[in-house]
Amino acid sequence: MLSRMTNFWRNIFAKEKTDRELDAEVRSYSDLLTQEKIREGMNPQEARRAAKLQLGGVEQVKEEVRQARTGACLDSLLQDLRFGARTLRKNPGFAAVAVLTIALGVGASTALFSVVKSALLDPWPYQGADRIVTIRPQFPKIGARPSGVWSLQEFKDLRERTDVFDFVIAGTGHTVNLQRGGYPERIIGANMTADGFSMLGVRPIKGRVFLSSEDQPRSPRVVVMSYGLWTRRFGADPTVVGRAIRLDDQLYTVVGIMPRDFVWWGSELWFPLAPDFSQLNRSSRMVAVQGRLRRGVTLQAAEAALQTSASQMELRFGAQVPEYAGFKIHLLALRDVVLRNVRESLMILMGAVAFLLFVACANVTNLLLARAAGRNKEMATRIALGADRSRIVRQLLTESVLLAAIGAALGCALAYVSVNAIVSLIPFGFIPAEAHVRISPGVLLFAIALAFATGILVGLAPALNAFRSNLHDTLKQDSVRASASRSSRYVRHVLAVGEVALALLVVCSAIAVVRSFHNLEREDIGFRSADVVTMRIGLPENRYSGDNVTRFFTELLQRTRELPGIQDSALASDLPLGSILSSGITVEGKSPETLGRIPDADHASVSSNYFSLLSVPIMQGRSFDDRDSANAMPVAIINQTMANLYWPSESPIGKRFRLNRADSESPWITVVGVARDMKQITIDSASRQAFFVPFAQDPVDSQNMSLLVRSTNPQAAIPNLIRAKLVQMDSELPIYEVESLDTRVKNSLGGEKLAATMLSCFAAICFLLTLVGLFGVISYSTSRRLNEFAIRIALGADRAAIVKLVFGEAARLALAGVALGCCAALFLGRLLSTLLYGVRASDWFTLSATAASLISLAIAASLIPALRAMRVDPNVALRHE
Amino acid sequence: MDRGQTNLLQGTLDMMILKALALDQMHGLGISRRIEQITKGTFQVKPGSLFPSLHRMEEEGWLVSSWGESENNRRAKYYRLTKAGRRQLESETQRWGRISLAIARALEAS
Repeated sequence: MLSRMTNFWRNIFAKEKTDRELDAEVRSYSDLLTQEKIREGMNPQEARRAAKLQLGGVEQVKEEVRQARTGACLDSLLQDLRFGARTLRKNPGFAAVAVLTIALGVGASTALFSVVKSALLDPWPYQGADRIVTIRPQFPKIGARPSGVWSLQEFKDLRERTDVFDFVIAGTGHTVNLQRGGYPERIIGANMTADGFSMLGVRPIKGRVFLSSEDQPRSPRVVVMSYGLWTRRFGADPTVVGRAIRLDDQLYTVVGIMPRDFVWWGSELWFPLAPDFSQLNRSSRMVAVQGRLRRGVTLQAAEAALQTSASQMELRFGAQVPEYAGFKIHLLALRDVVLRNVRESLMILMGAVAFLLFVACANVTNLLLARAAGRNKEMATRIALGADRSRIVRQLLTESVLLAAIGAALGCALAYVSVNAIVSLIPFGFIPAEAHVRISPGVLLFAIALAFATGILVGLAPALNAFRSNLHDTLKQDSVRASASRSSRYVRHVLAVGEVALALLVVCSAIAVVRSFHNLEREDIGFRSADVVTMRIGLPENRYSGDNVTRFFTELLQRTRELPGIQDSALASDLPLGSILSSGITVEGKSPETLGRIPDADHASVSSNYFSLLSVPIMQGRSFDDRDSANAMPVAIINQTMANLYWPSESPIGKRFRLNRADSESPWITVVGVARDMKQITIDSASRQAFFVPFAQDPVDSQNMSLLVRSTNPQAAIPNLIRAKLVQMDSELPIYEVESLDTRVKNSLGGEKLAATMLSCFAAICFLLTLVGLFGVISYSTSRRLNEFAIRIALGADRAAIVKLVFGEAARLALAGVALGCCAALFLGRLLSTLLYGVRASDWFTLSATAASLISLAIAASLIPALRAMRVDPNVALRHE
Repeated sequence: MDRGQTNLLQGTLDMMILKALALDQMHGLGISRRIEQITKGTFQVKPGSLFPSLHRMEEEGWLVSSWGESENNRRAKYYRLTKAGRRQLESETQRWGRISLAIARALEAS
């Protein structure tokens, strides 16, 4: 019966077996022929030869059969495809909707899951990346949070823990000025111990990485270059390897070029750290330490194991190194470096897309089931007239497969476009630079397989129905009391209700996230960002230090203020809404026990007019002025949060505190003013305590400063003006990171904008799909009831009552869905709250508004079927039965 | 038989094979012998045409095959008609009848 299908299967999958059978068959023919000839009187030898001649060669015959088979196979395939295409063309609406639904499901889910996978789950191209950790010390005496730096002796001790790590490396930043052909450029670089490259397992595309002999103090100066820098400034010239280049006024020999996309530490140049272990001071902490855990060692086990090192250091050196009291070691996995916010946003989006996929599948299932139920009679009739059942199955399958194939193809295209769109929306720095966001083949295959599976399974439904049911009954079937359709109607209605519920969830989430985003946009950031351009200038330490730094920047400020169109300029070591230095402090007269916490604060060094440029009012005391020179009493301006935290019931003016430095006594700083809070780090983070010192009094932290310039002139021209002035002062100083402050503020909301945009898209798609789904269900259900309506009208019912019946069914489905959705929303609201700012996840207004719109959606979806029901002519309808 | 004639006669060969199997299942050699018999020697089917037809018709679903033992206890592949095959034989017979009648009439006309 299903001989065709088994033949097809056999041709593709059992070629060898088929071939052997064919061989046996032809040979058996030859044998039988031989036997015949022997019976006719020939001797066996002659008979065999004669038979062979008559046969015309075994191989030729086999080849003829193979060709005939392939031809027949292709013919039947083409026939089925043509038939399937024709059927679909006869119902273009159905086909279009089904194809689009599949395409949306495949495209959206592939795009998002691919992004999540390549950006969050596995972005690092390094060997054993899931085992790489950053090792951080926590010294309770200095500050409550773990710091990022170690001393060289401590690094040496950590290196000995080969039971925990198979690699331990150390590094520091090493940003340099590259002077080459015209303009100086600031290049971000890093010092690294030689085994760093081995740990990462990335080999250079040209040359080599450092030798351990180059990783010693006073070794010849070498550097490894990134692919990006090599192509950008050196024109990908292969002779660069082995040549010397000038960095910060010194010559370094380039020994190797790294491959594209290698951006360890965000750097373009890597220098040997050359640690000088004769430096015995344990409190002089400069290097960051990273390691790779041994296989099978978990993070928790490693942390516990490292605690013994910490305790030992405390025991042995506690007397000389007082900060070792309560010393703890923390490990941070590489993958946890991705900002928490983004990970959560993307996870929630994944949930939304999973919902969308379900809705799409439900829709396609509904559509196909509805169509199938409508064709039950057609199938039964065809079988009764003698059609081959297997042929019918094959045709139905072809239709579904064709639908799935077109939908999947469209979906792939959609996925490709979507991935590119999503990548352009992701703000810089939110995902690791190494992440190569692309379509994950595994996800694509899964989505396509799901589309095909849905299509095939549901496409087969009418055929299976036809097989199972009694032909006679099916033909006689009263469409209202159809037994087969009762269960499928139940399934369809359940799917429709589910769809509405999910749509409610997605739409409410989207509304919540969008409102949260708007709240953030309107939040008071504490300073005025309009008309301000910022850029960074870094003074190389070999030419500027101490007083020179102060002198340079003071002069720079003066000169920039003289420029036409510039209203004001100021300096800051760190800008708001970004990262900032943070240290533990000691407050005079208040011990940590009194305060209930170990005091710490963000801090930056600024010029005296920093606050006035940003329109930040000084609430108490005064701003900085000429009194606050390098040799004068150290002063600071604190923000309101810090004032309220450490001096809650008194004026902080005149009070003193000092920075906790491990290796030296830092001077007492006197508070002279209190400024209004500015948002640091991100807009939605709580206020942080912070203080500001005059840059003249803190040259160490003022080597690299941001210059802020307020001007009503077009912002594009300003950097060049500044550059011109800078060249007059020092021709080898570049400016970098030029950014308008308004853009900085906007970018800080990048993550939230991404979530809001994407959820809105999904909500819109869900809404559309639900509309289509409801339309399909109501439309089909109405068409089945046309006879019932006809009877009612014939019995005197009002046409308006019929319309009410149709709307009623739609409304009931929608209500059920909405009720289900609301319950789910109340449970799931908690999950969403981490993403929200000033908005409750499940607030009644949003829920009821969405519910109302979904119910109206259902009514709208049933407009056309209702009209059809209204216009039914009882005579025609009854005759059809 | 040259190429042109073979194509014309492919449909006819199919019909012959179906007819040969109408009463009983047979293996390849048996089918060609039967065709020879019922056409009184007019059609002598070579294996080069027989086997491709047999396999093609199996693909179409008109025949189904199974391995069995032949008269002299050798293994051979036997073919028999399916329901679809029987229907095909009937429709082909009718069609052929109509064609031959039409041709006969055409030739008679002056």
